[in-house]
Amino acid sequence: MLLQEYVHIFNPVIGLVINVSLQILIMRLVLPNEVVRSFLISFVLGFLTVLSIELYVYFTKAIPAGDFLSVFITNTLTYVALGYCYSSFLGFGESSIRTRILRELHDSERGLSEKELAERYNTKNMFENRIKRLIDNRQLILQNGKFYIKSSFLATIAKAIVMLKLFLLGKRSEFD
Amino acid sequence: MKVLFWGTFLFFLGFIIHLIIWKIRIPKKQTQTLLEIFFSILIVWTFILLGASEYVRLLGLQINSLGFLEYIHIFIFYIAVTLAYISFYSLIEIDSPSFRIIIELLNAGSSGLDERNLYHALSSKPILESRISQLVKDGMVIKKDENYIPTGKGIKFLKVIILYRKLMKASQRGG
Repeated sequence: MLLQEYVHIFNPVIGLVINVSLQILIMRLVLPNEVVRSFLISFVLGFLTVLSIELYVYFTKAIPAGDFLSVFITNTLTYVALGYCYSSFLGFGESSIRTRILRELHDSERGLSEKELAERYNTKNMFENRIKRLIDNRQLILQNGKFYIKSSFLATIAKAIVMLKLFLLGKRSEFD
Repeated sequence: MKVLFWGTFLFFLGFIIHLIIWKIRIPKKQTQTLLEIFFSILIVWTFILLGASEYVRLLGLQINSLGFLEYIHIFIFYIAVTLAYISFYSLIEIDSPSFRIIIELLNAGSSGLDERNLYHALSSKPILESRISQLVKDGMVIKKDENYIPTGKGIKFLKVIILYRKLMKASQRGG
């Protein structure tokens, strides 16, 4: 019975372990170099594990529906938060400029000056890659030689981030 | 219900303290300060739970009725939500290139932007310089004479990322 209680408490952590393990397996065996897709698939499978454990505990322990709901919300929020942390960690290797700079500096024997870094890390290419990715994900469109935002969801998220920047930092951008 | 209540209460307590500090003066090392705020709250709360629950009860809050398993549950919830918030905070602290593209297009409105004007707007923001100074601030890179060199901390961080990408069999590019 105690083991069941521990499993219930650590349910989101079990879900995260499933998420991470499956993500690695999917990338190695099914979707090579598809970090985002492999993460999304494994995240859903991890959540199904969390849900299955919740339902198992609910039916075997016969706990009141109210208690079940509050623990279920807690464990779901915990799992989503852990998944978000893992996606951020994956982002460090996939698209982080800081990781790329560290790699360039590490690969050079005597370090690099700002000018040398700028030569190796072409910011125009960086923006081109991002624009291509946004177009591929149908978040931007290129029409008659002009770029437009296609995803209203993305626009809303960006506006929300600007609001948070204003609220917490008192400015709209780090460059203001 | 207790787990959700205490976990959320502690997180919002941390958020309010973070907000007050930020309104007084924004710290130089923002991520480190956030970690210090949220983990201090956890430590103080654990101390209260162990030694001073009677005083808390006088304030009308029942804390001594928490069992060990409930404490562990609150601990896991709080750590997960805190780390997610700190990860999310990096989006607020610094402008990602994708975020900059979207903002420039939002500013342009329904007329959109052609390639030349979009790149002109983007290149006016020195993203590379900003990231280098961020790395210096985080102690991952130092400036020696004119050159930037990764520190032990920076190399360790990079090795973890490289090792993980090897584990996933991902290409060693990125950035």
